[in-house]
Amino acid sequence: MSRVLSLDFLGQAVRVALPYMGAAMGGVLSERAGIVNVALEGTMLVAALAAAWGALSTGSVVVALLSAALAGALVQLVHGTAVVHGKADPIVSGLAINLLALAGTRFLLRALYASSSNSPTIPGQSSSLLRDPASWVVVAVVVATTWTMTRSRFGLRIRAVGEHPEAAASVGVSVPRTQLLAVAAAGVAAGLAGAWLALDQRQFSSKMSGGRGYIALAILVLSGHRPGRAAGIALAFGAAEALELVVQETAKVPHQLVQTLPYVVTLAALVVFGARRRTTAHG
Amino acid sequence: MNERRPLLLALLLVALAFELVVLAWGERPLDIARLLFSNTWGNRYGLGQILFRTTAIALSAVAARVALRAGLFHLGVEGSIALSALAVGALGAALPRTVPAPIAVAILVVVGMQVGALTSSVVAGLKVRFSAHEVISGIMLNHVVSGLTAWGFAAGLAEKGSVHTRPLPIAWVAARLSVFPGSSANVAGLLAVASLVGWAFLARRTPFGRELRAVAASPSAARGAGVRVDRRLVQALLLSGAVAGLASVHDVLTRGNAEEDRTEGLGFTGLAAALLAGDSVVGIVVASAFFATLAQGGLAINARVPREASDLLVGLVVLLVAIAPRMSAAIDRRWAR
Repeated sequence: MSRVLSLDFLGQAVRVALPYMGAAMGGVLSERAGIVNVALEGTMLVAALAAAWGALSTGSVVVALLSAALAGALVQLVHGTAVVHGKADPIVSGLAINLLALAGTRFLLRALYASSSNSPTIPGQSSSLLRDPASWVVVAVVVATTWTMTRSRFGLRIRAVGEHPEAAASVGVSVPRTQLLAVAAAGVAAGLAGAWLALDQRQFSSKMSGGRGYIALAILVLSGHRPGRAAGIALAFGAAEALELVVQETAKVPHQLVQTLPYVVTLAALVVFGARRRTTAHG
Repeated sequence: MNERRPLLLALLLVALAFELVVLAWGERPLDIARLLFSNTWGNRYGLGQILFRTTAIALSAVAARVALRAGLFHLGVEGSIALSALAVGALGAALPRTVPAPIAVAILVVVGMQVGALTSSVVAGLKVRFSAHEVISGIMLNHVVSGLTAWGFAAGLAEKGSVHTRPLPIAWVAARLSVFPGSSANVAGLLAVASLVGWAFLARRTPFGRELRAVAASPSAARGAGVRVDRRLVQALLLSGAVAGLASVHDVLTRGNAEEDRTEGLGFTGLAAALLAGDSVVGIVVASAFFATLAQGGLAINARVPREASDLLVGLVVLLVAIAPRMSAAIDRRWAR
């Protein structure tokens, strides 16, 4: 029990939760604007490579974060344009972008670093969670998204466009423009979450997003698309997965099975919340 | 308006993108294209490899299409293939070697389909009981399966010091087609033919096929018309998983064992082919052959342009096909002016 209450455990829970939080904020921004966003996964992956590239070529964390934000926004603008102007099915577009991101990052790895599995290590020491500027940037993303959605004019427009596009258009809000701005903002949020991954591991490796974009979508569904709640649920996911530390130290569970924990936690959460929704709907 | 035009437009843009990627890598597009074709459609070995890959992708594409018919993006096909491949490979290695080949193959086919359907039942159950989106649960399932199979291979199902199961008896392994010397083309490809024919029949001639389409168009309208929607959704996902199981049998019977991660990506390529094909069985064959050419061609050009370039095109095809009707219409409008 003491292990569960330790600082290590808390740190691990936050460490797991941060990328979920960033990606989930991206999900809030785009899905509240009416753009279903399966592309978060690929967005994180491309942005993680951009962050590693920025850090490796300039040695600056700021450049790394900026390139990730920019790359994330660009990927999401491709998705947004395909859906808004190209009338693509958002799920098909998202899946296509994830396939493109997976192959594209591997292609770029070979072009930039002559490897198809990972980038060189980013020099410098890995800083602690609290000293890592990327961690605070992700926290800032959560605060900014919450503020945007609840207090700002832009957030109001996003909600209007997502809930009643015709009504929004009738009062002079441009629906396509708002949607594209929303997905660009989503790209920045998910991109910074991707940057956090690369900076935390001190390198980019192929497939390093590891389904986190999809887990963020699950968190988003469970939160009812509310940013504050989504951040809280992300922390709960983080805590559940941090049990990994405890399990690995105490029990002899094979590591291959321990690694499935994030996905099992997500499936379990979908069942528990789904069951609750069902009982409230019928009772 | 001609229905095929958007598709042609998309493929034209893909060819253009390929050219740009090759140019960016500092190679001459025409040289690389020639290299790609001469090593795929240009000789008997290449043709055999394409035939083999087409059958593998087509099986996965039929699996994806069964679910798509009901409006579901069943990404769990990937995990269903991986888990049933392990089961089929392990069982094949464990069965007594005296079992006659036809019986052994029949057993493996049945078990493969069962395990595939069982794996997909996770997605089905979550969908109808807990209204979880199949895209999310499918991806989660794939990651769980990936851990399970890694553990299964490591915990004794693989031969010592390897990542594959003990080999099946030679008599059970599918015979290679001698007209394509050296290639992997083999009689297990008949599984793909069977699944295509079976699906064509189910989709067109049975209430099941018609009702799936109604469910996809509007679940509430279908319910109003007396369709048992949840039951049809579950059936579609289980059948999709069973066909995914066939894809794993195809893999194991071709190689004579099951190997960790060998089918990785097959589920997604199948979905891409199913999306490209639309609701046409012939389309599935053509789309599968197209992606088979890309995959085999990628290997052929790898020394000069990374084969990831051809993987890149798979995603691009899906994206462009999704927006092609709109693009085509926009071009029409411009011309009409």
